[in-house]
Amino acid sequence: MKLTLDLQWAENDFELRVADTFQIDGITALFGPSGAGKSSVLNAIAGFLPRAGGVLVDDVAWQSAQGSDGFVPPHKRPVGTVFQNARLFPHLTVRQNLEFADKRASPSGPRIAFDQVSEVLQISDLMSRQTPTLSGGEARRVAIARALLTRPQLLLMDEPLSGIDRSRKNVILRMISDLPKKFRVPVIFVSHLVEEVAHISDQLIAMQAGRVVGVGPTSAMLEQLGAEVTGHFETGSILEGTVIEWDEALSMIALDVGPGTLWMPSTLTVDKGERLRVRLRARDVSLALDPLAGVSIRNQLPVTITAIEEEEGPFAELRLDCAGQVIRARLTRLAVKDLGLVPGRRAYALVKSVAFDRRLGGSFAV
Amino acid sequence: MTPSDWDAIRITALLAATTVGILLVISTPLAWALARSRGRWRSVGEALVALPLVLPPTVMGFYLLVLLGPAGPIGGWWVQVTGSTLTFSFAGLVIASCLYSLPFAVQPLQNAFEAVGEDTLQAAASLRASPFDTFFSVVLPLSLRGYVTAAVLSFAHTLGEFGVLLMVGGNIPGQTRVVSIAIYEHVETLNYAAAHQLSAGLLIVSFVILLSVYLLNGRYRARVVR
Repeated sequence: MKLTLDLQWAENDFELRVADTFQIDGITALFGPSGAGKSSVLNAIAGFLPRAGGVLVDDVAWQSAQGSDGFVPPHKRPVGTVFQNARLFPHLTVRQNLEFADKRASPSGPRIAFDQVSEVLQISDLMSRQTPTLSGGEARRVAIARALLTRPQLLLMDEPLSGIDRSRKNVILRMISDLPKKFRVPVIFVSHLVEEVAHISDQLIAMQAGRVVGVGPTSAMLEQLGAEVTGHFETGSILEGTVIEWDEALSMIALDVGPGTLWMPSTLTVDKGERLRVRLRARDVSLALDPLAGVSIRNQLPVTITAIEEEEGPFAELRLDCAGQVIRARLTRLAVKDLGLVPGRRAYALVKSVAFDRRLGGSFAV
Repeated sequence: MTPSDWDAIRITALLAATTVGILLVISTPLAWALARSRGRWRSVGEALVALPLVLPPTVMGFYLLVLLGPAGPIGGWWVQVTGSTLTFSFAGLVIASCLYSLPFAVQPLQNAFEAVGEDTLQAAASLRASPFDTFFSVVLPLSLRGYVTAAVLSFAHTLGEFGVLLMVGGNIPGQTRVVSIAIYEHVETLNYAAAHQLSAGLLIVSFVILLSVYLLNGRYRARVVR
């Protein structure tokens, strides 16, 4: 799906200016700090900002920068929207909420079966519940199902997981990452959290202060985006690998990332051979010049230092090459000096498995 | 109680019920427009709707008499169409009551519509519901409590009308004499026993109606908060 935006819109101190064409397939993350204009872009696509400028989808104008001519009202746009706070109708049960969408679905949309939606989002048991009694996670799943049942050609999600605890969030993130494949609907996913976009999005549109500051594949984008977009301590990188072992008793997964194996804790059910993406925060990575024996750190990956960026303060950020994949490490400048680290030097990246523990708020895998 | 007192009770109940029916229909678009509008026009509209709350009934009654009388623009047209006058008739009483009780219907509805919120309207639009569809399938069911409040309050308020009705409808037994006017009549003729009967009846009915509104609202709150 080709999405062309020509948005220009101001409110109070905020100014939105986006003029670009995007290819939307799979999951596209609209990413950036709060107040970057992500939700405004989503609202313009959904039709809730009639005067924000032009929106063209596959060369069909839904609204134009030249005033109100040809404005397609929100209820006639083939998009489904999942709002931040679910917005289920309180006077209807879960089933009635879903049927509300089902009855009004456009006949020309993708074929999406009611039963399949409720199975994928695991809401079959909730059907007769009153919506105010649902937990946060349940309400979001129902909201996603309801949006799908409008048979949309594009699914918009505006921070659909805010305020949900991490373990539940990961379960829903996995469900979301399956949507484009299972229902053949592209997704635009708004989030300000690296941990959310890193694992489910294929493409990332980075926004800051009302402007698009970068578009590209998610892993490449997260490696190059600065701290002002990602949040300082969130600098990190993505590693992709294949699951080669799953120790259910110890709740550990072994991931083959090429030159080495990463052991990390996981309570999720995975299959051997499954490809997983892991996000590694720069501050969770240490360096050693030689492989270490007799330490508790399980993960030691051979790397080559490609760049060292010394900051004003006590820290330095290093880019490491790990058989073609990038790892970032955040060390003190003192350590860089003492070890004599320079670009081109071979070393071992050390990652504590605990760094992947979600409960500690560190890097993690989905 | 005399047959004429029973007539007054019948006319009062019929007037209140008719007024409520008409008011709910005309207040719905009015309250919706007020709930959705912004800026100066909203304030003008709200002030106009609230006017009957503060205006002396004689002022309203006087202008209605001018408008609805056979020489007035509305009354003259009515005479041409129906052959009878609007003033000193039941139809005239209904028009006067609708205006007099308008704020009691519009304000609860406006509050209910505003409580539905922009978020819910957007959600309905995102599910392909047109604005008309949204109103009937989302706004109306969520505003049920507002409708009950509006109906009960405007019913009770119509029961208590006096000045406007006296000026527009006069005091014709069996046609325009309502309970409040009948009480006035009994007091004038020093028939305190009859005045007591009707007054106590009106007092009790009004209390029961208001009590039921407050009980209903209390129970509704408890159910929603859970």
